Amino acid sequence: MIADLTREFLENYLSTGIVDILMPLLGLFIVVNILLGSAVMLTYAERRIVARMQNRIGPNRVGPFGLLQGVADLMKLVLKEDLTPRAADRLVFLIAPILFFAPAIALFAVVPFFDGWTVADLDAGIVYVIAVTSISSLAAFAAGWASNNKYSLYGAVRGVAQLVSYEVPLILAVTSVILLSGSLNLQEIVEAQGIPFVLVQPLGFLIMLIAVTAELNRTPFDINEAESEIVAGFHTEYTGTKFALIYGAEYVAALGWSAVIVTLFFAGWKPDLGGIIWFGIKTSAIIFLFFWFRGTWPRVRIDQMLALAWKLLFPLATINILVTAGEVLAMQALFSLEPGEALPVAALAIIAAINIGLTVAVLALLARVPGLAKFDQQLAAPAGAKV
Amino acid sequence: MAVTSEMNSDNANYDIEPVLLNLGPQHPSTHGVFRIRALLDGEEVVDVEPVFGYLHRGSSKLAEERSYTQVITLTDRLDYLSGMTNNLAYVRAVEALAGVGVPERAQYLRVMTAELMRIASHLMALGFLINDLGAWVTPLMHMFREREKVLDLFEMICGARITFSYMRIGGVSHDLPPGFDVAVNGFLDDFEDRVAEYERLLLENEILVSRMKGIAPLTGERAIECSVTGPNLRASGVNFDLRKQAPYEVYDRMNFDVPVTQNGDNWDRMWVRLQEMKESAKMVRQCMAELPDGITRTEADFFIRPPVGEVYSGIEATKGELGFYLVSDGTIAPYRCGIRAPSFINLTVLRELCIGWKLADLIVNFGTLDINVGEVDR
Repeated sequence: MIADLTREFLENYLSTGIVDILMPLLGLFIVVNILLGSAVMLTYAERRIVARMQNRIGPNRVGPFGLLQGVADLMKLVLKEDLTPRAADRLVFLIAPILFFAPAIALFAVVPFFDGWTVADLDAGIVYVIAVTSISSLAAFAAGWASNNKYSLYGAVRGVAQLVSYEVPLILAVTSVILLSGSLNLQEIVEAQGIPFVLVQPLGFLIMLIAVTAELNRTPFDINEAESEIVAGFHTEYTGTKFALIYGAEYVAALGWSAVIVTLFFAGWKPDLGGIIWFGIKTSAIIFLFFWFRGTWPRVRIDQMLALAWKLLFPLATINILVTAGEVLAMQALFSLEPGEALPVAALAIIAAINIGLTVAVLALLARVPGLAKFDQQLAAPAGAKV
Repeated sequence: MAVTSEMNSDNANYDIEPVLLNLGPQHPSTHGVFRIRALLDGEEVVDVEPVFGYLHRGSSKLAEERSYTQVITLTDRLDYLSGMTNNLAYVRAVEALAGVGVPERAQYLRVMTAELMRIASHLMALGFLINDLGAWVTPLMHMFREREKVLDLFEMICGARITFSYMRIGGVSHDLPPGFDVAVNGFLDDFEDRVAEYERLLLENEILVSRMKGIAPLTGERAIECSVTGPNLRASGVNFDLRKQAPYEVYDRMNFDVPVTQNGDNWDRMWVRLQEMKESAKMVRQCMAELPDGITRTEADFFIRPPVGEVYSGIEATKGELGFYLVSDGTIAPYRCGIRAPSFINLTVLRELCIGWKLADLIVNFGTLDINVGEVDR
C-alpha cells in the first residue's frame, strides 16, 4: 500500500520507465538500511543483555540509556585507518568482508515478514537460504587465507571444518519441515503451520538451533574466532570499515537465521496480531537465545564439535526424517489426502503428540536420566577424592 | 606421546611441516605477558616452549639494595594476586633470621588475611580458567564480584587493595578496624552461597566436563619429580600441604581439611581449588571466633640487623610453596634474597602436559596450572 502511494507520488514527477527502475532500488534501500540499523542496535542489545548476566551495567553513556553506543562504535571504526598487512593478498583481503556481508543481507530476500511481504517470493526459498548462507563460510576462509597470519589461517581451517559438518544436520532438520509442509516456499511453509512446527518437530527444532549456532560461529561453537586460543580467528588482521563489515555481518546473519527459524518452526507472522510486530517479537526472542548462549557457555573443542555433528546430530536428524516421512505417509492414508496437499490441523496434532513423546525419550536417553543421581555424585567429587 | 607429521600415515605423501604458533606475549589468554611458542601439527601440539622474562623487574637484586623492612613492598609485586601470602612468606623468613617473636593476635590476623587472600587468588584462577575455556567473561565477572568484597575487607584493614604491605617484621601493621567482624561475617555468609552457586554452574556443566575431565593428567610421581607444589600437586593425589605438614603461625589450631584428588587432570585441578576456597572460608571464620586480645606487633627496629647467617623459610602460598632464602651479613640489607616462586617451578610440567593434546587444551592446561607472570619473572 505504501509502495503504491510512493509510486503514485513519483509518477507525478518522473516517467513510468524510470519509476519502474527506481521502485525496487528504493525498496532495497529501505530494507538494507533497516538491516544495518538493526545490526548496530543488536550489538548494543547484546552488550546490555550480556552485561546484565555478568552483574555489569553495560554501555550507558552515549545517548539515552547508551542507545547510540553502536553508532559511536561504528563511526569510530569507519574513521579508523584502513590497514592491510604487507604480506596479505590485497584483492582477496578487500573482497572477503564484502563477501561476508552480502549473503547475510541477501538472506532477507526470501524472508516472509508478513502475509505477502516478501522481497522475492521464490518457490525454492529454503534452498536459496541454505545456498546463500554457505557463502559466508567461504568468505571467512578467504579472509583467513588472505590475511597471511597464522591465527587467521587456523580460524579459516576451523571454519571450513565447521561448515562441512554443520550444513548436513542443518539441511536434514530443514528437510523434516519440508516433509510436513510439502513446499519449499517460505510463505507456504508459514501457511502450512496450523500448529507451529516447533511442537510438531521438536527434535528438528533442537537440531536446527544447534546447527544454526554453529553456522553463526556463536558460543559454544565460536571455534573459528576463539578469542582465548586464536585471538580473533579469521578476522584478526581486519581493522576499520572492513572489521565493521565482518562484525556487522555476524549480527545481520544472526537476525536472518532467527527470522528463518521463526518462519520454519514458530509459524512466522501467524497468528496475525498487528502485522510485522509479531514476527519481530518472535525473532527477537530467538536472538535473545543466542545472546544467552554467549553469556553462559564455554566453548567446545574442535574435535568435540565435529563429533557432535557427525556422531549425534547427523544420525538423529536422519532418524527424525525417516520417522516424519512415515508419519506423513500414515496421515495421508488416514485423512485420504493427495500427495503434496497440506496436512490438516488434526493430522499435525497427532504427529506432534508422537514426536514430543519421542523427543522426550531421546533426550532422556542422551541425558542418561536413569543414572542421573550417580552421574551428579561423580561430578561433585572426582574418583578417589578425599577431603 | 608426541605426534609428529611423519607418524600420521594419511599425510605420508605430502610435504608437511608443523606450524610454529606464537602465543603471546600479547595474547588474550596469556595471563599477563607470558609467551608460549607452540609447535603444532594441525590442531595437535607437538612441542611447547615457554618464554618468559617480559615482566622481569629484578626483585631479588632490588632486595639487596633495601633494608629488610623495605623489601616487604617488593614482595607485594611478586604474585600481585596474592600479596598477603607473599608478605607472610618474607616476614617469616626475616623473623627466623633475626629471631623476632610474633604476638598471638598478629598470628591469627596473618592466618586470616592469608586465607582471605587464598580465596581471592583462587577466584581469579577459576575465573580466568573458564574465560580461557571460551565463556564470554560471565564466570570471570561473577568471580570478580566476590574478589572485590575480599579486597574491600583488605582495604578496611590496611588501606590497600593490591599492594598491601600489611605484614611487618614482628607482626602486622594495623589492628582490625571497628566493624570489621560484621563485614567479614557478612562476606562469609554470602560467600558460602556463592561457592555453592559456582559448584552448580561449573561442576554440572556438560561442556566443562567434556573439556576438562581426563585432559592432561599429571601423575603424583611426576609432580614430585618436577617439584610441583600447591593445588596442582594435591590434584595429583599427593597429600602435601605445608599448612598441615609443617604448620606455621597458628595453622596447627585450625580445623580444616586438605582436598586431594587422584587423577591430576584439569578437572581435578579446578575441583581442588573450588574446595580449598570453602576450607579457607572456614578458617577465616574460626580465626575471627578465636581471635585473642593483645598487641599486634612486637617492637623491632626499622633498620633491623639480623645476625650473620642464612635461612630458608617456606609457606603454603596460594599457588604452591613460596619460599624465601635470605642471607644476612649483619648489615641493614639482605646480602642475598632468593625466592622460590611456585608459579615458576610449576611451569616445569607445562611442556609434558601439553604435548599430544589439542591447541584448545594447551590454553586450558596453562590456565589450570594457575601461574602468575609477576611471580614467574620476579
